[in-house]
Amino acid sequence: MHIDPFILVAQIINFLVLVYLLKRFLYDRIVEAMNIRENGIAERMSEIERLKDEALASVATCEARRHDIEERADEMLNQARLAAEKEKARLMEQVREEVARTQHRWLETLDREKAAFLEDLRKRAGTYVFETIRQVLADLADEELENRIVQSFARRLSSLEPQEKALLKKALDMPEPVVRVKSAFELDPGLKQPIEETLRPLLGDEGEIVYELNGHAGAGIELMAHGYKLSWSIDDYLESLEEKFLQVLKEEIGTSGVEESKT
Amino acid sequence: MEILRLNQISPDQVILWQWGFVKITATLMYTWLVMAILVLGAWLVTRRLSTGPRRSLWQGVLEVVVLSIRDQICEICHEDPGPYTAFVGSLFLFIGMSNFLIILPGYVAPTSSLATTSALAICVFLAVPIYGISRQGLGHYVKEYFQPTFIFFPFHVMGEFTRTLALAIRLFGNIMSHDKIIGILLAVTPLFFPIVMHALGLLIGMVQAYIFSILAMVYIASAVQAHEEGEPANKGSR
Repeated sequence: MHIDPFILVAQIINFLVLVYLLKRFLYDRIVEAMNIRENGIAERMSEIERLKDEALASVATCEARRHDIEERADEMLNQARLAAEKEKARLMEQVREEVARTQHRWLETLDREKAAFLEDLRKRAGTYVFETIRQVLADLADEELENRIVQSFARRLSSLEPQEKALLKKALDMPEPVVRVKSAFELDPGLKQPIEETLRPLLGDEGEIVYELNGHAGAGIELMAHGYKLSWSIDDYLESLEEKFLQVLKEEIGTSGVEESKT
Repeated sequence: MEILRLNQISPDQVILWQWGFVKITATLMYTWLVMAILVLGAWLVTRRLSTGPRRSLWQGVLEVVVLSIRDQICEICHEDPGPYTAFVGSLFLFIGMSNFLIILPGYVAPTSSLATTSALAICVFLAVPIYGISRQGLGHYVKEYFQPTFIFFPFHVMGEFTRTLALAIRLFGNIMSHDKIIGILLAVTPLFFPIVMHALGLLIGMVQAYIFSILAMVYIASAVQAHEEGEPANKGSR
């Protein structure tokens, strides 16, 4: 096949021109743009790597801090828990003591009220008993009783203890001593005799015995001489009995209260 | 009935203007058309290139094309493709675009002209020693023709000529014969079958462009790498 030399040369020139133009307008520009982009990407990647390293370092630091904070939080929580338990125990103990004190006070109050009630009750019972006894004795009082009372008084007067007798003598040791005998009933001469027989040796002749009627003396007789006083009456016995009764009552209340508080 | 038009026999035969031995044929006209499309397209796309992550579609297409060319060159020569990109890439783009435009009615590929394929083969023929000499020097390059002994010199020279001839004839034969087949089929079976053949023609055109440029690169690389492979042996002998 024929090849035209002109066409051949022209095509060679055309191709060389095309190579030049494409090199200038295509390859160089595209390659340069790609290189710039590649460099930019490489820079960004290195920047990303740097930032990633920084971020990882920050993460590690944050993780360490978080771990530290968690440990401290746990420690503080444990301390708080222990403190709370201790405080709870203390408050429980306080409440227990308070309850015990309140209970003790309440029991004491109860005991006191109980004791007061019992005392009052027993006092009232005793009072009623003694009033009844007094009433019975008053109702039963007659001459025979009065005679016996006077005799008993005279016998007591004659059998005074030496100290008592000395006191009586001292009271009567003055000019014209007066002895007052008070009784709850009228003393007839028969009844006065044993008294006078007993007192006269002490009074002597100058002394005077004055008899008075005293309704408050109860079933009894009373001797008063310048500050000295000697009496005998059923009331004395009753009062003595009452005192013993009250003493026994107090002891009884005290014993029962202690036993009850123990229980 | 005219089976083949004149331009389907050879575009060189279609003379558009002539003054003495200077003449403008259809081959030259279509060659300029292809060149204009390539250069204008490249200029339009690359006048505003983006260097950032965002880029236009056409810039992306051109980057893919250039990058693929460079990768192919790199696979063959295993070195920086920079010095060879313009030459080998232009070969591929020119032949590829020439063959691709056969989809246009009335167009005849310049590569179906033996003058064009011969011109391209001569360019390769000249480029091989130019690259070889520029890389290893004239003496070393010429010395390669006498390896392993001087008896091989005529065979080396014959090899250079025959492979150049083979390049030209292969491309010309493939493209021209395809044009002829298309022309004949259009006359015989004007429906459907020529379309399939056109599609096949596109594929063959692209494959031929690839083969031509790859072979050109292989020739250039063999000229360049012969020097690099021989160098350690020379150093060892010293």
